[in-house]
Amino acid sequence: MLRVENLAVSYGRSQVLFDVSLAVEKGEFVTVIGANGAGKTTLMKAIMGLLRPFQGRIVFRGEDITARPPWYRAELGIGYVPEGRRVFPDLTVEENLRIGAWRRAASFKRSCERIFTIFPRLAERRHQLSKTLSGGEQQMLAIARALVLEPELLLVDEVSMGLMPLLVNRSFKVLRELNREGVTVLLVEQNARLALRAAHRGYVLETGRIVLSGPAAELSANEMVKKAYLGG
Amino acid sequence: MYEQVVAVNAGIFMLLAMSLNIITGFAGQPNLGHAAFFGIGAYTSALLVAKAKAGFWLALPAAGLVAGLTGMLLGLISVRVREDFLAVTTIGINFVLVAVFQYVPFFGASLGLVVPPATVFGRRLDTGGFLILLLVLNILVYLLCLRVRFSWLGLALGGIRNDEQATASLGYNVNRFKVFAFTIGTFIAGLAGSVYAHFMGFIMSTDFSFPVSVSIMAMAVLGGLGTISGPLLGAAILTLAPEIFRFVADYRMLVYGGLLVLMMRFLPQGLLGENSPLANLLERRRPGPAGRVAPGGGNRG
Ligand SMILES: Nc1ncnc2c1ncn2[C@@H]1O[C@H](COP(=O)(O)OP(=O)(O)OP(=O)(O)O)[C@@H](O)[C@H]1O
Ligand SMILES: [Mg+2]
Repeated sequence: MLRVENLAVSYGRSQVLFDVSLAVEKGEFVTVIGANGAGKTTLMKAIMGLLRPFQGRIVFRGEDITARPPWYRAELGIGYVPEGRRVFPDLTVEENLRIGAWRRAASFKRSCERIFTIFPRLAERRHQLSKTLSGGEQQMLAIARALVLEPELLLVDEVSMGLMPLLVNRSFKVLRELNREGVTVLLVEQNARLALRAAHRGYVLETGRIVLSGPAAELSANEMVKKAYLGG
Repeated sequence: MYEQVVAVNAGIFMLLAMSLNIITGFAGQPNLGHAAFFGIGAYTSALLVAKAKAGFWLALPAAGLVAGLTGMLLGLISVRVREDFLAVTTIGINFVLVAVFQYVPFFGASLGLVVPPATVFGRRLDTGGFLILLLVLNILVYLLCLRVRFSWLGLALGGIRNDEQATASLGYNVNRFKVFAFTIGTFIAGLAGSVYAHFMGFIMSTDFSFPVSVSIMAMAVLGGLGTISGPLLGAAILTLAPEIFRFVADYRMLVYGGLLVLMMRFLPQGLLGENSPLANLLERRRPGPAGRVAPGGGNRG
């Protein structure tokens, strides 16, 4: 479904991604784990089209989208949950959802109902400004907002960041459920333990390079991964 | 008569503050050179009527169009530059334009331009006539703002103001919306310029200089950027204050500039912005459940 080939990205003169290649098949839950500053967010932004790579290709459902703008990629079926629960702070919960339904006014009611069954808390808070939500609720809203477009591939940039463990677990559960319902998921995560438990396959990103990849269970058992990412 | 002149002035600045609010309040794009577009409208209208012998009713929309097209160009630039550069760019545009009006003989240079009066059915439009025209224009622009605010467009602009990248990732061609906000906002400023030119009967470059841009910004900020009624209130207060308080008239730029700084520090959401003391007071008086009821409306204006 998604193929990233030899991707290289730099900010000005400092190169952040080097020759990154990965693939995500339809229905898969794939994770890219990496430490702080490894380039995870950069990778997600490049796939979404928010950053321009200087080398490499991005192919989605057979179409080369490397030069396509972000809105075009969204229309093709790529959803994006940005890092740090970036919801629209001075829009209400409902507006945060409605904004994604621009070209989908007809199906908005249905997708809203689906979203509210997954996230009942958001239904209770639908008229509240989203900046008044708790951190966990904002994370849910960020995921929900991307779901309004009914994406085939969901890019998720860290669900664990700054959340208490209970909420982190719940976020992972939601992603697994969505995946079971047929949404393909590509998650970049610092919390390797949970990410590898949730995903089918994984990649290890180290200072901008993919150094390891394989089935999640294999990666969890790998000595190097254990030492560097799973705390021994 | 004097009151009517003050009211015309207020009406013109209400249009300007509302139009700047579309660009800076709704879409979140800095524009510190709004007076340039006011000026483009004024000179376009004046030249069309004086040199091309066009009627005022043709010159008025033409002034809006020329200003709006220039604004569209600015919008196209704005999508290429970072926000802080954009603020500087708009100031630059203001200075360049004033210089052009000031030195090019075609625009009357430093002598200014005498503007033929506006006529309706052969009769000269008097102050009362201008007041009615301004009332109509203000109502139309106000309705437009309401319309924009509570539509997809308003939602998209709100998204862009909050987080451009996230908005783009939701399928919005962010650039197109920004350019649209600049075009509409500057079009309205052009209309205001046309009315101003024919009402005053004489224009010169300094009428549209950078301090005027600062005044317009002060009005929008005082009332509340992003609100619906705020810019009207801000423009009313700041056009009436110099008439009532002598010191405001004497130190106009100091007062407006100082006010801008103070507002940004202590009440950035403006008088009618969310959670401001005045907005809360109005909100409490309104019947119905607490909190936000209207989709996207609430106490934002
Ligand atoms: N806008 C930018 N300009 C310059 N350098 C940047 C920019 N954004 C990120 N970087 C640098 O690029 C590298 C990768 O950053 P990135 O945000 O992709 O890492 P990350 O893996 O997402 O980290 P984290 O786990 O902290 O979110 C870092 O060294 C960072 O300092
Ligand atoms: Mg990151």
